[in-house]
Amino acid sequence: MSGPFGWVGRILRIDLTSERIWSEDTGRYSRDYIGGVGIAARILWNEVPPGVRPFDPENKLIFMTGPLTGTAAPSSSRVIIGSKSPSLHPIEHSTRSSVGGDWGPELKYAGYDGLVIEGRAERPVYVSILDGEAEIRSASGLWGLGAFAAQREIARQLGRDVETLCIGPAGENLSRIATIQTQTGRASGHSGFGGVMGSKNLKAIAVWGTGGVGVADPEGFLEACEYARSIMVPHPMGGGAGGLGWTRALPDGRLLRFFSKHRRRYFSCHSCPAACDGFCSVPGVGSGSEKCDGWFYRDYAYDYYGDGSEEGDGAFFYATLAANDLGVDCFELVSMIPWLARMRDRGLIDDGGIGLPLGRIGSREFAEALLRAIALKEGPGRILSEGSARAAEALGVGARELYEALWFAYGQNQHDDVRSYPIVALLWAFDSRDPMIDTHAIRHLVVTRLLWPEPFGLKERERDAICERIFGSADVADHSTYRGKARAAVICQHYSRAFSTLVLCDWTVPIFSSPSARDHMGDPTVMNRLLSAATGLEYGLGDLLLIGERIYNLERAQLVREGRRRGSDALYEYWFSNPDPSGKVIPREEFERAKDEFYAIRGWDPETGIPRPEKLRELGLGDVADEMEKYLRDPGRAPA
Amino acid sequence: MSEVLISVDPGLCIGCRICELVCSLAHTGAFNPKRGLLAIHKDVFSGHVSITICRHCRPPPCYEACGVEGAMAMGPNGAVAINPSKCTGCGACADACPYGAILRDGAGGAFAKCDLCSGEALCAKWCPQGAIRAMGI
Repeated sequence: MSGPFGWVGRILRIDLTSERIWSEDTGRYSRDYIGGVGIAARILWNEVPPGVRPFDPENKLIFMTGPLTGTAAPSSSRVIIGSKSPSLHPIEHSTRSSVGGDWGPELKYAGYDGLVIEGRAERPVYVSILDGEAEIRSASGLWGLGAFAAQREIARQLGRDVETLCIGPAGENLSRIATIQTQTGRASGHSGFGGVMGSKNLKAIAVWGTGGVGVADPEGFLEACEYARSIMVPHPMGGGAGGLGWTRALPDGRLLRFFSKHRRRYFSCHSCPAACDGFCSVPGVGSGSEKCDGWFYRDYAYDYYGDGSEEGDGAFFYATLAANDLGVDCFELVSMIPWLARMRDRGLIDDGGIGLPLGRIGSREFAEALLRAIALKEGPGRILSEGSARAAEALGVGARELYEALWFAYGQNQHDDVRSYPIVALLWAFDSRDPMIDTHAIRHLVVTRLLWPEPFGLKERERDAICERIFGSADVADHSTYRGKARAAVICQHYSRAFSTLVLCDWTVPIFSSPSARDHMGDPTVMNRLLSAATGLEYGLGDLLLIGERIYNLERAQLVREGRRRGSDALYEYWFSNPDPSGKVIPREEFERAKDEFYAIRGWDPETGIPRPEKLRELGLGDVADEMEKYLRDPGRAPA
Repeated sequence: MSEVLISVDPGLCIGCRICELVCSLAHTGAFNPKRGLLAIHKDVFSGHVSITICRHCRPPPCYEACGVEGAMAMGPNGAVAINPSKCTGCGACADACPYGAILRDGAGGAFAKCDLCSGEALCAKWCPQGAIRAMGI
């Protein structure tokens, strides 16, 4: 094969307003940004200026794969989505999200590395991309359908085994917490991009293709795949064989009991041996995926109906399927439901006032009432579909106070404890969204490692050796101090951007630690080994991390242009004054000192948090530096 | 070289398509699951999975059905291979196959089938689940 290698070479562009369809060369971006999150950030910077709001036709939805997508690289299925986010609060910043399954690889087999959608269709449409041919089709018979039925109907209409990304009613109705779904339980969840699709009158994007993805050095590439797979991080809910499946050790009796009764098989994303998706069938409820999606309702359901009860199984699984079918972000609900319960207990809301059976949280009826209200924007859904941050503002002071105890920042709910882990607090402080969702590697290493059962648990001595190797110091694992955490956060951010350009799954990629590896020591060079063999271009780990730094700075420039400053690199006040179970709060002075250190390492102005022009130039972002200088002289002017 | 048999257990298959990926790389030079010489059909809504793959029957009905001189040859490992330059695309072999495992190659009129990768059976080697197994006999 004579190439192209890794990339397939074109990015498809569709303007739904004018119905214009064209394509551009991936090479325009790939040298500096590789793919995935990098190219998405560059297109956002180039084409989505501040002032564009998430639901404006001028907002763009950018779907980007990377050079490993569609190959046999382990866990290489994910597609990155970039756009302005309706779920972020108070500023609707540009951000990222991702989704696995089989859609990203299929887009490449159909001939494209990425897809950028802009404009707004006059009437509901869906897009089909079949072997390079893109078409805008009427979605009149699809609008209003759940995500499951819509995918099946599109496959029927097109007469092929297409892979489809689509929205449910929540996205159609412009909920800010709507997802983009594929299959029965894979979603771009936490950035609210389902509503952006809805605002464009775009129900779905179906792809199918018979093209191939070539690699420059097939033999070397398969060797790199074999190596990466031998040390990959398994998933605790996964069914992968060969030592990768360890569900039996999962410390959650309720989930295990459910799986033992109802799981029919495992499914994996494309080219992933981890198989984290349990396909379940529950009589009277339905069939589909269960993994971590259902967390938001599991304990409520079993507390309400009793452990191991059929009704509990039914309510739990119903909630999972309904959220995925209606296209509502499950992770938002992890905090929204306890928040509603606490407001009920404080007397801030009652059944009559809010129109939900608050006395029956845990019942199937409550799940149905809540999810339908959000997805259809009816009754209480008019407030709750805006997301909890905006709902809290609407409901008043007491609601806001309780809200802050369950959310960390930016309208994103808690994920790990910012008081217990300084590295987590800093990663949160500088991001636009929940950062823990694409930094699972650091969670494996220093946060959740003790939850992993033997023989997978990481010993302290092993952990320290890994920290020394990656961060140059074992300080990152010392949660009693902010010392060394700013540098560690910077390094984590570069790693996260590096594997998200390729694109590899952040859970399984063994860059730091891995239960499968000798001494649990992962190997970050799996990234550049795979990339070099795929593309035929020589990448070292340093090259990839430098690209990670370039992307991080470009993302920051975009946030700054949208209003982000040092003052908003912050977490809600609650976490500075209310202790965790061990008595820790975020120590304000240490936290601010770590921020000083972070800006200094980054080459950003410590007063404002704005990247210095010389830093941007050093990273090859000279044009961004020029644009930033003009913007800072006159923030109101329209960008070039 | 010993003869090789292929056995499958669709119940173990996770639908990752790694078998199709390595197969297509070996036979077409690129990762292209739809041109693999085996096919995974997965229905994520019903949970149904099937694996279409040559079992290397003894004796092979495909080989016996082929009437075109030189279009099919039996290798030392018992695998019947199709010579694409001789295959006329008549489909007699595909009709004779009890597993539906002889596939029309997307690239042209010829048919294509599993040739066991010279005995290496990459699909079985790479399957993370043991859903496809190659056994020497």
